[in-house]
Amino acid sequence: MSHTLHRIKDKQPDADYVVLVMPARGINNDDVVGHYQKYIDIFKKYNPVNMGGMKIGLLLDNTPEELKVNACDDAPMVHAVFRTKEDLTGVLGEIKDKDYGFSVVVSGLLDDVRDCAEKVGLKPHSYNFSLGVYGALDKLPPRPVLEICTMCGHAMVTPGLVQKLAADIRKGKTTTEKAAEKLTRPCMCGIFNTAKAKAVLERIVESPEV
Amino acid sequence: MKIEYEKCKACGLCIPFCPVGAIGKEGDRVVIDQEECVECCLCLRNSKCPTEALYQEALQMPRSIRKAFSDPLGKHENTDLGHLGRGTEEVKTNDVTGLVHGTEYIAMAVEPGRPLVGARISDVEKIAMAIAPYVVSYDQNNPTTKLMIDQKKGLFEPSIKNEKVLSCILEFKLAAKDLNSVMKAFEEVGKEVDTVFSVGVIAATDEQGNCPAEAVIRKRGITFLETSTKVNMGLGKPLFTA
Ligand code: SF4
Ligand code: SF4
Repeated sequence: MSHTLHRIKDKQPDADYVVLVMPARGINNDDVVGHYQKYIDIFKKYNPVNMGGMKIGLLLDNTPEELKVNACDDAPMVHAVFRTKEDLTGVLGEIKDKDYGFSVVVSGLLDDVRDCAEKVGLKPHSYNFSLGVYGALDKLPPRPVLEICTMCGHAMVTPGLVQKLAADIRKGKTTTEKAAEKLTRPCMCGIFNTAKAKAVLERIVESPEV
Repeated sequence: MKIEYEKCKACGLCIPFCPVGAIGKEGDRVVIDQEECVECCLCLRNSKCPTEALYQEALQMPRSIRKAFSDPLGKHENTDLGHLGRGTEEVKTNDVTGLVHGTEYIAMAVEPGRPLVGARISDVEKIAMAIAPYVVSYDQNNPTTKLMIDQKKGLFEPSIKNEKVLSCILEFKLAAKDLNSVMKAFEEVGKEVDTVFSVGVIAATDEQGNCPAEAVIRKRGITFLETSTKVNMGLGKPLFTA
């Protein structure tokens, strides 16, 4: 599924770029585990705020070396999340140079991603554009809550949890750091941006209407 | 999902973990609204229920559809696909598969229920019927396609229409020239459904690196500053070229 698409954005610089690496099953999926390990070795050099994948685990609870050990053939893909355009440019440049051959997709604000790709001489093959959300929009939670929750495309990070943690921070029962970590764990793919969640939580805590 | 009431202390720890608000207090008990529960297992997995009162029974059709589409670890055992997940590899491996190539055709992934609302299959059907005139073909590896009884008309099996899922994906190919019309159709059907749906367009670049679909989307006022875009960098081998 398009689990890294439709991440709701608010401000620029956005500081939220997901790189995902995936074999095409039945076409180029030789030595999936070895490949995942090599891509993790690249990711770890560029300050990822999260990394891992379904059935592999999260950077929050594993070192990059442990993630490499956990890499398995039936994990559909491996991801990493970066905070700056410099890191994204660096990681793309090294992936391009190493040329291991799995498909590489970046999720982020279009202009930013294009900029970084251009800097390292990459020409996009195709796009998955988000047209946003249609329908009964009044059913959606407030926008800052959505900014956090849509970082997990499987909807595993719930508005109720964001609102409860925001209330706990206001009461002094927890900190924004701890709350952001708590929000990271339900997202099993390792695409949740813990640092961004912390920044958005700070905004939520200050605005009484959320 | 069910609660074993002999064990439950009504502490409410599980309540915030439900994405669709199906868990609530009723007097001094904590209850799960079975009509609204999408069987995603989030409460069970994340709330650390102190008394292990939450449990999921083995689900039968049609209710098993809820879990298959809502729990990322729920397999699609009700269809012959049996795989994990709600969709396919789509744009992620498009450089290798060539699923969408050239600029005459594009693909779409319409996801009723996303974000965080959930959708009944009856609403999924309304959307599928609205886009039916434009669909060239549905992705046959997608589990939502497998639930359709008439892909041309966008109809689903009547016995499953009341089932609610966290989200599911209508994945299809269409002519690029119909993009503007189908976007209008989304705006119209959006007024009729009791849910939300997120829409993604998959489009390839031409030999000069341009993507004509992007201009059509921008013309309808979408700036690509409100949500993320996914960009396939063309690094997969063997690279599929137009
Ligand atoms: S967490 Fe467990 S004990 Fe507490 S309300 Fe939920 S089911 Fe009951
Ligand atoms: S299984 Fe999912 S939808 Fe059902 S009560 Fe638990 S969290 Fe809510």
